[in-house]
Amino acid sequence: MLKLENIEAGYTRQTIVLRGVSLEVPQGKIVTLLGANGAGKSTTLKTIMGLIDDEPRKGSVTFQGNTLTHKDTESIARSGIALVPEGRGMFKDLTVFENLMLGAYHHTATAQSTLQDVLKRFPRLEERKNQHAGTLSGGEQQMVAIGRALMSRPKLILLDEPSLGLAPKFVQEVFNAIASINAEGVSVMLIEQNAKKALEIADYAYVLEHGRIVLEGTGAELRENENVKELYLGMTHVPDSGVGRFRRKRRWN
Amino acid sequence: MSLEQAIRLLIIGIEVGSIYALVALSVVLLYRTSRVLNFGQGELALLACFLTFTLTSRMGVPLWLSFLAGLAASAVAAGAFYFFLMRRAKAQDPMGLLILTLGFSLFANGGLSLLFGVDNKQMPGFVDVIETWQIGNFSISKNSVLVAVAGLILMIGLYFFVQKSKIGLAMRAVSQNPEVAKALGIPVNVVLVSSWAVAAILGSAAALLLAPAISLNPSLMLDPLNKGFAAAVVGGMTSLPGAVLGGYLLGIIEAYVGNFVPAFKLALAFILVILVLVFRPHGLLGEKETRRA
Repeated sequence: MLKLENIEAGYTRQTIVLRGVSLEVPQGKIVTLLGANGAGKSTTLKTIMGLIDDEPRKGSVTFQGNTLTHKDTESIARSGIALVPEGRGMFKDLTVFENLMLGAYHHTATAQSTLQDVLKRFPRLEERKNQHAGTLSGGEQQMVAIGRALMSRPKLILLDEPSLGLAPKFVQEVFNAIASINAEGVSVMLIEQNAKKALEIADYAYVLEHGRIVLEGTGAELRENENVKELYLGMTHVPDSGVGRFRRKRRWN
Repeated sequence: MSLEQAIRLLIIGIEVGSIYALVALSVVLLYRTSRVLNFGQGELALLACFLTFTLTSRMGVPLWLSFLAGLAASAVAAGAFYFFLMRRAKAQDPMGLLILTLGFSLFANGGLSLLFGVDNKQMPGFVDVIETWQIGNFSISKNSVLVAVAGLILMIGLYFFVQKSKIGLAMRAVSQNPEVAKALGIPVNVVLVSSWAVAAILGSAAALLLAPAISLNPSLMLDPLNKGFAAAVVGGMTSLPGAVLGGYLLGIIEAYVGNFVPAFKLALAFILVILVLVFRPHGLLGEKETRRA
């Protein structure tokens, strides 16, 4: 459905963040992209959405067979891709209702019925409808951000660290929401710090390091991978004594 | 000061204040959506005035029609200026853009002077500026009332446009978070072109209301623009209600102070600006802005 081929991108001519990234999000699946801070995860999403001027400098992005590379963000969004931005991207001085309606900017005809679906999915937002988004808790704001993305009836939804900074209760709620949105047929590309949760719901996963995909596989495969365990799942095994105490050299292949 | 004089000064203050408020609104609207000040605002307003003047006084077009044509012309010119120059400018930092509008202002002023002349012209108005209404032994200038009422109607119109219309909602979204607005598929360019156009309409309406009372020449908007900027700073650069408050406040204070110490009138606005910047830099109604590095 979404396909990235050999994407090279950065922010200025001197810096390069993505050094040839290829990945794919198949129809109806959840794909997660793991990686440390600065690996290029957000840059990947921004490149897909066309948010960085004149990028990618090499490679191509295709969505349902159409090239998105170098198209403007508005038409990329209108082609059926919705972004849940990093840090939730609230319009803080606008009400929850206004935030949601902005998601349906080009979908006036279906806005009311989609709004009912979104409020059914997140009943908490119904009560908060006329409050300014800035007064909501982080978890509630994340629901607004996801709801706003759904307002455009997307075929693919891109989530940039949706669980970051949320209380554990909300983290679970967000992952449940992602799973149920996917169950209704929306493809998902998920960027997460919470690798454990992400790998649980992901059909397929990629590991990004220094702008390169260093590992890929199904969620289950990656959960069993020693490097992923150590780096992303925090399961380090350090022997009490002997040669193993030295930092193990990491090889991806 | 007699009560009668106090009321007379209040009416003058409100009249002048509505001009300042309209200019301040145009400044704030533009600042909020595109983070830039437009020094060319005065020339856009001049374009509207000269066009209205030429259509009415030279070609005999009805005043209201040439009034609308003037507003439309400045709206189109502002939209085009944004779309063809500001948007494409490689210097996307606020300072570079500011200089660009300054250059446009100087260029346009020269162009308008060349086209329409620098002599004083008598701008036709909807009412005769010397006509008054008599209430007992008290007289009110018809023009003052017209200016105040028209200003109020425009401000209410702007309120509904920004708060209730779809494009107004998009404007508020773009002013808060342009990148997210873009990612949601909101046509940011359409939003910015319309906010430039609306700002130009506000500024031009102020000029068209002001011009009949004084004479029309290329420096018509110099003083109102300075005062409008001052009113915007006093009210808070990010607040539309603040611009209205700042405009009326400045107009009224100026009327009273100017009555007693005429020499002080010109400096007053900037003394207010200095006081606000020292004691309340975000303005009366503006929000404290935390600047990102």
